[in-house]
Amino acid sequence: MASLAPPTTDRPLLEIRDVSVALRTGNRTMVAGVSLAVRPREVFGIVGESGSGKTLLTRTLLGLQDDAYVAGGSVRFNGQDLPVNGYANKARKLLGHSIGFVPQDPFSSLNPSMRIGKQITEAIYLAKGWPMGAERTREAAIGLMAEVGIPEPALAFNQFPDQFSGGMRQRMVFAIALAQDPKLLVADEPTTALDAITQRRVIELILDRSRKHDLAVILISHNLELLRQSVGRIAVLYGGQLLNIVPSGDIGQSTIHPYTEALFDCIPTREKTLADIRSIPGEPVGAGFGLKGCAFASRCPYVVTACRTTDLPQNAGTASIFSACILGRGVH
Amino acid sequence: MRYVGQRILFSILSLCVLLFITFLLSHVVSGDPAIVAAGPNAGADKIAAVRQEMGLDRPLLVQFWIYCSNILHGDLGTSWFTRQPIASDIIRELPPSLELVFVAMVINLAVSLPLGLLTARYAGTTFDDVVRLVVMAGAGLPIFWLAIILQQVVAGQWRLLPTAGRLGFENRDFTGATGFTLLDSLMQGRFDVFADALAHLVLPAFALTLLFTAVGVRITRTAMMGEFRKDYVVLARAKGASEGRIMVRHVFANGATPALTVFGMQFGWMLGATVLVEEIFGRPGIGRYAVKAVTQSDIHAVVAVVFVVGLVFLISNLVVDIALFLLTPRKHAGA
Repeated sequence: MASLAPPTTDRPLLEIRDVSVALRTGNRTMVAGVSLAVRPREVFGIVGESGSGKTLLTRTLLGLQDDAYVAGGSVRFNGQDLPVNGYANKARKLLGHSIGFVPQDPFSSLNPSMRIGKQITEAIYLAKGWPMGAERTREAAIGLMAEVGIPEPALAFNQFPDQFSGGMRQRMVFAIALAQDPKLLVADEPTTALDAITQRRVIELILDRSRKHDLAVILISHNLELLRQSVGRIAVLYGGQLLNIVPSGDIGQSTIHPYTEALFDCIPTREKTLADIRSIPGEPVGAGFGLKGCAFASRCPYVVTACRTTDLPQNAGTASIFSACILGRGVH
Repeated sequence: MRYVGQRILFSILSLCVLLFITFLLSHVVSGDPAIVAAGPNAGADKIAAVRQEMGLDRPLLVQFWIYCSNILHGDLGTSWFTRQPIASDIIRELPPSLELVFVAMVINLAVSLPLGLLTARYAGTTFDDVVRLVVMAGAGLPIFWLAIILQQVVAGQWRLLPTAGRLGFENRDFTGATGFTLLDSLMQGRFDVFADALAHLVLPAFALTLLFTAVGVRITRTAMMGEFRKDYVVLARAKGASEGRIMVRHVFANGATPALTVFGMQFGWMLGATVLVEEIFGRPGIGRYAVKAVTQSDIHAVVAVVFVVGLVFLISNLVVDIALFLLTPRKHAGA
C-alpha cells in the first residue's frame, strides 16, 4: 500500500495555482480557481462525481484535451513554468518522458491492430528519442511486462490487445507509462472498467511499482473509498470547484468539508449499519454551473445564505490541507 | 491464412457468377446467334448446320460448360468483324488501359490518403472547409468535359504536355514484351521512352481520376474521423508521439479498411470509365475497343470486354482484401 505518511516539505513536483479550464466552443469556464501542489513520490488522489471536472482538468493540464484550454492561472512542473499561452503544446512536450498517463478504458486505449510488444517498444523509443537496437529494446519491453505481472511476457510480446483481459491490458498500458521512466504518473479512473478484485490488484500494482520507480502518482477516481485506502491526500472536486484537500486518514475521523463528508456517508463499509449509509439529496451540478458561491450549497445540510453569495475561498498558498467551506468546516 | 483462403474462394465464386452473366449476355440476350453467324442469305439448312456447329442445339447448361471451358483455356471467341480471336485483341488492348488506370490510381491514392487523413485530423478547420469545397467541385465535373478542357488548355494552349496518343512520333515504333510501355521502357533502359509515355499519361490519368479522388478524399476522411476520437490516440499522444506519427503509425491502419475497400472497387470502375478518356485522348485501349465493338454490334467482343473488366474488378478487390489482411491481421483473423 501507499505511504500514508503526511506529505514532506519537498519542493512540489507539480504546482497549479488558480487554474481555470474553459471549453474552446463558447469559451465556457468549466473548472475554476483550482490550486494544489503534488510533491515528488507523493500519491495524490482526485475524487469527484461524473461531471465534476476532474477528468477535464487533468486532461487539459496534460495537453490531451483538444476541445478545452487552460484559461487562467499558473502551472509549474518540476521547477519549469508552463505559460498559459500555447499551454497544450508545452505540456505535450512533457508527455512520454516526464509525465506518464494511464487512460480510463483499457479496452480502447491500446491500438487494436498493433502488437503489444510494438506498442511498448514505441514508448521506449519515444522516451529515449533514439533507437537503442531492436534486441535491447525488446528485452527491455519484456522485462517491463514481467514487472507488471504479465505471464509469459515473451509470448505476449507478439500478441494483440484483444487476446488479453481488461486487467492484463491495463497492466500493459501501465508498462507503457513505466517504459518512459516519468516523474509523475497520472492515472484517470484506471480501474473503473475492471471488476472489483482485478481493480484492487491493478491499483496495488500501480502503487507498488510507482514507489519502486520513485514516481509521484495522481490517481483520479469517483470512488472515494478506493482512494481513501490507496493515497495520502485527496483533492475533492465538485461542479468544477476545488472544495477540499484532505489527508485520507482524516476521512471518517475528524471534521472534513461537508461535501467530502456527504460522499463518505454514501460508502458502505464494515463499520456502518444500513442507516448510516445516506445518499446526497438533490442532483449533482455539472462543471461550469456559473461559478458564483459554493457549488455544493444547494445540497449542503449546513448551508447559510452567505454560501451562495460569497466567493469561494481559494487555496492560494497551495497548502497541503485545504477546505473551501466558508463556515470553517474541515478547516484545520 | 484461413482468411486469405476464404477471400480467394469467394473470388472464385464471384467469377462463376460473372461467367454466367456474360454467358447469358452472349447466348440469350443477343437473339439467335446462329442466324446472325450464318449470314443474311442463309437458308434454314445452313442455319441449322451453323447452329449445330456452334453447339447451340445442346442444353443450356452444356453450352455454359463449354463456354466456361473455352474461357478457362483462354478462348474468348472470334470477332465477327475482324475474324481474329478476341483473346489476342484483348491482350493487345488491355495493357494500355491498365497502365492508364494504374497511373490514375497512383495519383488517386497519393492525393486521397494524405488529404483524407489531414482533413479528418483537422476536421472543422478552415483547411478542412477549403479541401471539402475543392473536392466537391471536383466531384461535380464530368470526366469527358474535364478531359476536353485539360486537352485544350494544358496541352493545346500552354503546350505543357502532349495532346493525344500513347507515345510521341519519334517513339512510334517502340514495342516491348509486356505491352506496358512504362514497364517495357524501363526493362530496356529506354528512359527517354519512359518519360515520353509518362508525359502522355498525365492528362488522361488526371482526367480519369479526379472524380474518383473526390470520392476517395471523402471516404478516407470519414473512415479516419472516428479513429481520431478513440482512446488509443490519446495514449499515443501521452506516449509523446507526434501528430504525424499518430496518423501514419496508429490511425491509418485502423481506419484504412473502409477506405481501401472503396479504392479496390474504384480500380474496376476506372477501367470501365477509360472509354471516354481513351476516345478523347486518342489512346488505344480496352475502352476504345469496347466502343468500336458496340458500334459494330460485335457481341462476342462486347461480352469479352465485360468479362475482362469484371475479372480485373474481382482481382483488384482480392488484392485489396489481402492487403488489408496484411495491414491489420487482427481485425480479419476472426472473420
